[in-house]
Amino acid sequence: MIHVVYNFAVGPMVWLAFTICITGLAYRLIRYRRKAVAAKKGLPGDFRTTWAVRSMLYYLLPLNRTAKSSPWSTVAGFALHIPLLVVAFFLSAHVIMLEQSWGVAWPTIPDVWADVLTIIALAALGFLALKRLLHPALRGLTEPKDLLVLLLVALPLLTGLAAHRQWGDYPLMLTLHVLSANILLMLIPFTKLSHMALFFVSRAATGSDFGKRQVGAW
Amino acid sequence: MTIDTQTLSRTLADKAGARLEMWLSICSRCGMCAEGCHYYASNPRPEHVPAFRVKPLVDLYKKRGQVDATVLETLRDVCYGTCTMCQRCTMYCPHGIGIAALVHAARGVAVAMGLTPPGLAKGLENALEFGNNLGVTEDDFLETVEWQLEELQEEMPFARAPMDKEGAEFLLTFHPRDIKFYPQNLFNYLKLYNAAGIDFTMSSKAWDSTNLGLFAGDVAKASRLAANVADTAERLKVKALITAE
Ligand code: HEM
Ligand code: SF4
Ligand code: SF4
Repeated sequence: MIHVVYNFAVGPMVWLAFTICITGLAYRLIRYRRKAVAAKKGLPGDFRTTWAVRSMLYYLLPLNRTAKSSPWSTVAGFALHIPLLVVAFFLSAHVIMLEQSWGVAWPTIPDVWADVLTIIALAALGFLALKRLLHPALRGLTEPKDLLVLLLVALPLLTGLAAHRQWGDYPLMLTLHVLSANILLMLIPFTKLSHMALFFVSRAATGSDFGKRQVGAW
Repeated sequence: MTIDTQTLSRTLADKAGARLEMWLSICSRCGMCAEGCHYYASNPRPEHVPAFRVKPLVDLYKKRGQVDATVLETLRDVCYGTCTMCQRCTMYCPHGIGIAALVHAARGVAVAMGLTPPGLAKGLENALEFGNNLGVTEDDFLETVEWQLEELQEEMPFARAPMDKEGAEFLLTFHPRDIKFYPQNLFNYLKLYNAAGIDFTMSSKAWDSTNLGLFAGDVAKASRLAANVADTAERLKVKALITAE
């Protein structure tokens, strides 16, 4: 039984998940572009590319104000995202699967690293969840779905770690890992996780606006 | 209050630009924007976290305008009562979300539904009728300028206050409060600009530097008020416009 589910999850469902994630994000980007162009019709172009790029770099380096005003949350943000992306793209098990089906491959990270990175990401998620539950102002702002998103991101990490460390039943953990990762991918375009693509658009739009007023990147 | 659902859905569709859609959907409710807001700094309640200001708007879109009057009244109270649209929070948001632009859109919804706060509505009416939000007449304005200029000339005999002069470098505008209640401020402005020796003019018709249409979220009226000053600046062929606080 578990093998049937597993075979479905690593087979057709992966395809479906990636298709939904990529076309969904592409749709959001195209829709943004169409609306933005329609609103600008007949007006002179005034996009400030340098400022837009600087705005993104300021956040990613991070040189921005948030790094100083909310240092712990900023650290948690990076401690979540860097491991998430590094493990997703460079875990040997992921690259091997890709090589088997598409014949493309790239360097991988040692599995111990992956374990450590995953634990860091989980700790960061724990911090973000606790902050939402304990910080009085943030608790008032938080909606149940915000905690759900944190959980949805934690699940593939947790089950992936469990599978690799052979905690619990290996086939079950692996199946849950693939299932939860697929679900996460499918939800990206429809939730605030769409920031994966729109972060760059938003930061660029605001950065360009700031550039028009010559107020500096931030 | 009964809700004109047609107007509401039309306004919501109208306001749903590229940025609004993006920002409403990517805001993570992480609360980091709070560090930038003076409301939060003075009273750190959840309602004073900038992202909280857009909750009523999110609510409206989620329910496609099928809401009762309390939602609209909350929207009005939150968006006029707890935000000055200063944009500081944007600098503290990881995504650079323009809370002020979203509050502006929400105010636009309130305006379309006839919920502009009364004091603001009155000022806006004045601005459209008299060209300034305190309803100062042209005669009163000219008289005030003349009076302050005369006082100034007692200590600065060469002082001038050109009116509707073509081809000057700068067009001066003022906060109507300075004309109506604090003419001493006008005195100081004139003293400053004369001492600086710049080539300036004033306009008898377009001298209000405020734009209550923009503040109210009423785009059509904001454009009319801005055009009043911009057209005058162009007609007088000035190089730049100086706005006051
Ligand atoms: C290249 C892509 C990405 C960029 C540039 C990015 C950027 C950001 C930024 C700026 C924040 C807000 C500040 C912070 O907490 O760090 C954030 C939060 C977050 N991101 Fe991403 N992100 C990306 C991809 C992803 C992906 C792929 C996921 C998960 C599937 C994800 C999950 C999250 C979560 C869970 C939060 C925290 C939400 C909360 O505060 O509750 N991000 N991201
Ligand atoms: S900092 Fe930005 S993303 Fe976070 S709650 Fe505020 S507006 Fe939303
Ligand atoms: S724009 Fe509004 S919410 Fe943002 S910092 Fe200013 S007053 Fe606060």
